[in-house]
Amino acid sequence: MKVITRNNRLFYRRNFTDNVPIGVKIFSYILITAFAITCLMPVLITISSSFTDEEALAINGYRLIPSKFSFDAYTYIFSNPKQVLRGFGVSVFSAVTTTILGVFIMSMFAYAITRPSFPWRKQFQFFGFLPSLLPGTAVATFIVYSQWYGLRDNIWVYVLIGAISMFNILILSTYFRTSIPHEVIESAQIDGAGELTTCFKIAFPMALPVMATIALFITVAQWNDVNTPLLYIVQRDDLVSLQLLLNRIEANINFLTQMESAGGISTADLAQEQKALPSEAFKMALTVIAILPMLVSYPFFQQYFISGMTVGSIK
Amino acid sequence: MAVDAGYEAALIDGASWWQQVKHITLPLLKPTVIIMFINSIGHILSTGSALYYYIPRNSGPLYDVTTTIDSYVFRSLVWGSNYAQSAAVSVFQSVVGCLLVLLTNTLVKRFSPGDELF
Repeated sequence: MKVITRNNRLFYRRNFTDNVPIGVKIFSYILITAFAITCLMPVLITISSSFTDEEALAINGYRLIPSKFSFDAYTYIFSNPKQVLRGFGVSVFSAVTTTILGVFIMSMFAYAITRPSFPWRKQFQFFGFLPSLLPGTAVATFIVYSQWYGLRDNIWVYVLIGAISMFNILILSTYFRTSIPHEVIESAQIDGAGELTTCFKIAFPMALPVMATIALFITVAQWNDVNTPLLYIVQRDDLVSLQLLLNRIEANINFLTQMESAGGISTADLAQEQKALPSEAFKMALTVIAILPMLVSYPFFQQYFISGMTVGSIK
Repeated sequence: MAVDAGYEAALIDGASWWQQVKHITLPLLKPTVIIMFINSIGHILSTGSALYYYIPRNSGPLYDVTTTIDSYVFRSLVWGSNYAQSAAVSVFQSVVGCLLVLLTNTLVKRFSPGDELF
């Protein structure tokens, strides 16, 4: 309850959170603290492991504070940075291009769906919802994308798969329906604006907050995505994104250790290989580089995420 | 906001916290819960290939207990065993999802009209 003084009189502003029983409060605090620790601990352990000496990491295991501080992993990465920089460039390209294309197309789709003068808007909404409701079979999706569209080993596989999502269109269309008054659009049409002018000059500037939120959603999803390049980028090593690079390095190490346990390689060769193998600290350093842009930009964009979540609440 | 007006009216009438949750919060959440439910129930047999393929590290003795439909399809696409069988398994997953979505939508139309998705 908030106490407000106005004209020398006391007012009590009552809230929903005033009479919460003490047991519910304690339970909620414990639950949320546990969830926060579960989310924070892996990130902190990764960051601290990346600053640890490799042998100390093998002896002491993962610690919250590095047992022996060293920059070895980072100097190893930046001594031959060509692959990491290429991966960084591909990830940035995929995130930026997908965001621009996706926001543009999805906003136009959402605007058209909410116009009452559009006779087929229910059919288009159903048509758009149907693929997201039903699971796409993995085999059929793969055949369509790689053989029919020719997106295998192609840079556009990042962009075209991640650009359109019906969930984002739902958020956009809810915002267009509730927060853009019908009178504004009608007055523009009376003044002689066509559909394109109404869309780009009236509706889009009013919907900039939700378009910024959707742009952030798409950027984060594209940056973190590892399943798409895993399936479709097989031979061209210059189209490997940062997440796929990390995945491949880890897979290589597992492959080599599995072959060792199956007795495939002689021990002398393996000792030679292990000197060139990237170790745990190197993997952690690469992970930190992969998540660093998103970690750094989250505090700045957090307010947009929260306001965007509450926008798309009802149909 | 209109939602706050409901809570203020309840507080004036002397409702306890649990009564507010039961009569205001949960009914207002119902359309959102229904939409999220219909969106998710189509994917009920789908687990995603990453978790169940990479964590067991593709080790043989764990096949019996950690294989899901998506993991099986991913493994047979990568290691190249029977393509037709894995396609058939995916179709089964899709058909079950489709039937469940249609059933849920019909039930929502019957019990809570106005909230259904199509």
